[in-house]
Amino acid sequence: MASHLEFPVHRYGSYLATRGKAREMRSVLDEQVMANPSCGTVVLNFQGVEAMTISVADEFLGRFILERSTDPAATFGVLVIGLNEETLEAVTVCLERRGLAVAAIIHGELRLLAAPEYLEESFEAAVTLRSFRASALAAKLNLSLSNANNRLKRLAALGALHKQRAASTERGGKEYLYTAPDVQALAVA
Amino acid sequence: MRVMFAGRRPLLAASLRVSEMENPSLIIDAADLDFASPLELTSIVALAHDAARNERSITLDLPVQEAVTSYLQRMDVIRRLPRRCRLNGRLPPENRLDHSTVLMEVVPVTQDTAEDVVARMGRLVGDKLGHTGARLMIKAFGELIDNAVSHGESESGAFLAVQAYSGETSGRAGVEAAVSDVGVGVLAHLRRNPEHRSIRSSDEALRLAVRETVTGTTEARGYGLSDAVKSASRCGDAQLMLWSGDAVASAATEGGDVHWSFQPGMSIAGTWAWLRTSVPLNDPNLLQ
Repeated sequence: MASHLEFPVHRYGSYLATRGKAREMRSVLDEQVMANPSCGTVVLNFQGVEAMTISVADEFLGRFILERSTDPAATFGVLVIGLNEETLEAVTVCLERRGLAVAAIIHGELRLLAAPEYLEESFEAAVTLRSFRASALAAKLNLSLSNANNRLKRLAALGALHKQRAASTERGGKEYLYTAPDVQALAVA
Repeated sequence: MRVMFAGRRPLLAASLRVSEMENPSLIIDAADLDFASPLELTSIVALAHDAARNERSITLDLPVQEAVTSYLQRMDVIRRLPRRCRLNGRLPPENRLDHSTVLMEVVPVTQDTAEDVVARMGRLVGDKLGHTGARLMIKAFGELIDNAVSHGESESGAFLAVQAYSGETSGRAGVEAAVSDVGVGVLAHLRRNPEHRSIRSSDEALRLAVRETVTGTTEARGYGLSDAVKSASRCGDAQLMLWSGDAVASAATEGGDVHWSFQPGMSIAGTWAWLRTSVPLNDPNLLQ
């Protein structure tokens, strides 16, 4: 199983206010991700962060997810943990404004934050399926295969699901295997 | 130029009186100052630093009331003035007790020190407004600090002060915080964005700046001020004031609604920001 990289945000303070600090945090995170090319999941741990401005959430997490979602070479997943009521709100608002989303553990449950309903529904189904092909999601949600593929492509770009070429294809074309984060394996629940 | 700080909280009423003089010196006349909020404290220091960088001579006329002078001294206004500033009046002997749970003296804040200052403020506010109150206040005031140390950045930095109120007389515990910078101001900042290059006045700039998505950058930003007001209003009754250039914007929240008003003010360098939140004593929603 691929290793995960945990980034404890509270190392930068319990109260975070400025975009300058957020840029510094993101730069360190980017360096760590680059230095760990085999990293399966980047776990952003907000435990111990009492409050942060929405500007900080945007500059740190919003831009990190944006870059992840537009980098076709990126393969790592992203998982957010340790949010309190206020940091959860900051993360949700900044991602909604950018039209992004992120997988997070909230009160022990794996959820997709800031996502439109159809994507949230797809993520929930993916968590149930654990490791699957697009056809399984299409069957579960009664979607066309192309619709299921589009949703999975978006979830994978956000780092909410892992995507890898399927070992063998059933239909002869390119097919992918999608995997939801294994919370127990990450030992962060 | 003589700038008169007179009465109670003169800045909050935008009622600074200014008289021009023939020589370019600055006299900050606080002789008739009866009560100072953090905004008066940080703004006196910011005014003095703006004059110092322009190599003007500076005089601070100390308040006639000894208690008010003592407060200015206790809040480190005197300590933070530029060296060249002359004091006119008598400084009482200082009896310095630890009040770190109710006040934060005037402190310079820069990009490098902002997070330490915010952490101190978080502890202070948490003591008064509880866990949730502190989180909301920092979310709100943090946006104003971010503006001051990023858009408002200058060699003189910005100055911040905080005062907490117990609410024993009013029945409402409160926290007031102010941050005053001598940077470029809202008008020049917004005009950095080609979309807003045609803005001509600080009044127009402030009216735009309080709207969402209006930014001096070319990025998808510009929520800071509206986020500040929203977070503060969730904490309780909130008031915010922004003074930039020759314009003043004030916001008051009531039951979740935000009312903005605008008026002219004395022309200043940079931006002065002030935020107050207050909550009923022992509010079970906040004091946890």
